[in-house]
Amino acid sequence: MKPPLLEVRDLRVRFETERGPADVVNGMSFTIAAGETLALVGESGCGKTVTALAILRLLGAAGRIVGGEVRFDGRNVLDLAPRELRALRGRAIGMVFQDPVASLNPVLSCGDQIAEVVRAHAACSRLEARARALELLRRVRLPDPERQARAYPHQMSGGMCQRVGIALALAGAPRLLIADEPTTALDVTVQAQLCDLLRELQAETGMALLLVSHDLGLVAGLADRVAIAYAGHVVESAPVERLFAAPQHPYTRGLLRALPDIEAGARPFTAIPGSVPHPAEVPPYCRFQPRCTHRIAVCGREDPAPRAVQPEHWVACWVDVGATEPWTPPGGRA
Amino acid sequence: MTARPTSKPARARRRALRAALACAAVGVLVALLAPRLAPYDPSAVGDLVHGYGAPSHAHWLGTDEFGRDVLSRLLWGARVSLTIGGLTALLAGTLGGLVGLAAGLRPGPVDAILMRGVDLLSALPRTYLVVLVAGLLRPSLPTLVVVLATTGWLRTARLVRAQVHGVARGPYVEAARALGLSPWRIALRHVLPNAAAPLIVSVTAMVGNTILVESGLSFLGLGVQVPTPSWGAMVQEGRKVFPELWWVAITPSIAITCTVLACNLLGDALRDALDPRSASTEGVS
Repeated sequence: MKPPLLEVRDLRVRFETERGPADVVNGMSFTIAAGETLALVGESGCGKTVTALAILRLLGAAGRIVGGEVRFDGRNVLDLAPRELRALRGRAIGMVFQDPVASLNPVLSCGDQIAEVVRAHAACSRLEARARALELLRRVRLPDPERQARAYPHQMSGGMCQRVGIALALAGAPRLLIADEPTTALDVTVQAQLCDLLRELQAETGMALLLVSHDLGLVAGLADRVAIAYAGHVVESAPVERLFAAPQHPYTRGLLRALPDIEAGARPFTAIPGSVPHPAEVPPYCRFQPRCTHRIAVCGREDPAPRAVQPEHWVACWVDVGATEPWTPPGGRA
Repeated sequence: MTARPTSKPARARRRALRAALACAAVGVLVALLAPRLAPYDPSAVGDLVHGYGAPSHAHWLGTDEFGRDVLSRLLWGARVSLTIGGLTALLAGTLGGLVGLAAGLRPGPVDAILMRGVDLLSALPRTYLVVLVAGLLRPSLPTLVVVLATTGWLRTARLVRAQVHGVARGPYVEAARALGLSPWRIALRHVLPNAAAPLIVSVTAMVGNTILVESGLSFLGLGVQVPTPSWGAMVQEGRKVFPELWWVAITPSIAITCTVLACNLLGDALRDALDPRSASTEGVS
């Protein structure tokens, strides 16, 4: 097996809230191999965006990393000095944000913004940086790159801005791209185009991708592996086909059942009972147990240790749900 | 098809900006060309017997107590007023901008120390301070600029800090950080330009305000010293004979009002024009 490019181990991030300290990320662990795509999936508030920011130590004053490790290429990111951190950001790891228009500086033209990042990571002249920016705009398939390089963000559509955002993330030629809900703010046809673009760029550059999303359609289209996060940690992880075909954790099953299905027609959604706990009030031991229909006595007494169901497929649940309740995909679709 | 709803206000804004810029350009030109435009030497004492000459063909705006040509003094006074206003605003704007930027970007001790300093200085009454220093030192143009600038940057620092505070939390600043740009670059290229609108408005308004303060000081005899023509001193001289010999005081008063008004309008027009989001989308898209 390839050594992991990124390894997040037992990461804990604490925020001070009105209801007391909240470990929004609590025991988050996953790995990404070079060139691989991992989708980190979960509801709003499960800690997936905070994890993405913590990898680049971008939490700001509100959140503190209180435990765990983030290893990129074997080095612990949490130990890096400010200068080394800047070399990591943008050069080793690129990041694409959720709101494409707001993530671009409104007073700089797109070409200037990209050229600035190019120059931050490679010794080159203004002219070379400009040429490189144009090439990047071409690579993200922005139509009429010469003209759009002079355009300001407010003159472009959301989809075009996100292409510029991806070009910015690629400007330092990173080996890992973190995409935090890259298509959530865009309409469906643009989502599909960007999904294709990310796949093509990955094939061209061989970079790894950490896709943070709650959009299971995007995940199915892009990911090699999926990690399902709930209340600050990963509860199940499996290769993408395997996860959709044989989900083991009751929460994963709940998520998949909540998907609308075009072939099944007007099927009522199956909602998971209850709601995501506030990060300061996460129940002890199995964090999903108050909402779980498969709950047994031990769930409220001890943490469920992750157990392998198959090679590369593990789940953190006391109950062998797969054995007692065979999975029927919603609408009978595989 | 009818015109897009954005086009009309955008055009009105451009027109306002052009008008304000034209006013400012006229003012600066007058100041620069004063030696050529002025029909007489502003300090040349004229016909003492016939001082306070009414506006005539020879002296369009009349003469003052010492028979000096009011128009010439007005033109030369523009140099003094605009120099003091411009230099002070530039100096105070730079100081206030830097302090505000530093305080806004570094929450915690840096912010606290800088802003408590600003609070402390704000508690000192500016007018008395200026009067005190101007009275102690021999009032000259450089001392006036330094005194006015060192007491005039506090409001700007507060404004810029508040704006920087908002901008620095914006997604594009976080994105710049995520892309590995240095803190200096982020501060100067990403935060400052987006927080510059209130700074620019404040600095242009300060030009006008400083001219007003300088006129007040000259009125009190604490401004630039005779025989240098200054609008404030001219008003003071004219006050004694107002309203019978109105031309001595009225013209510098009008000059002060117009200049201050032009500065304020220019500030507003610049604020609207410098925001790319408020500009029209013509051209590129």
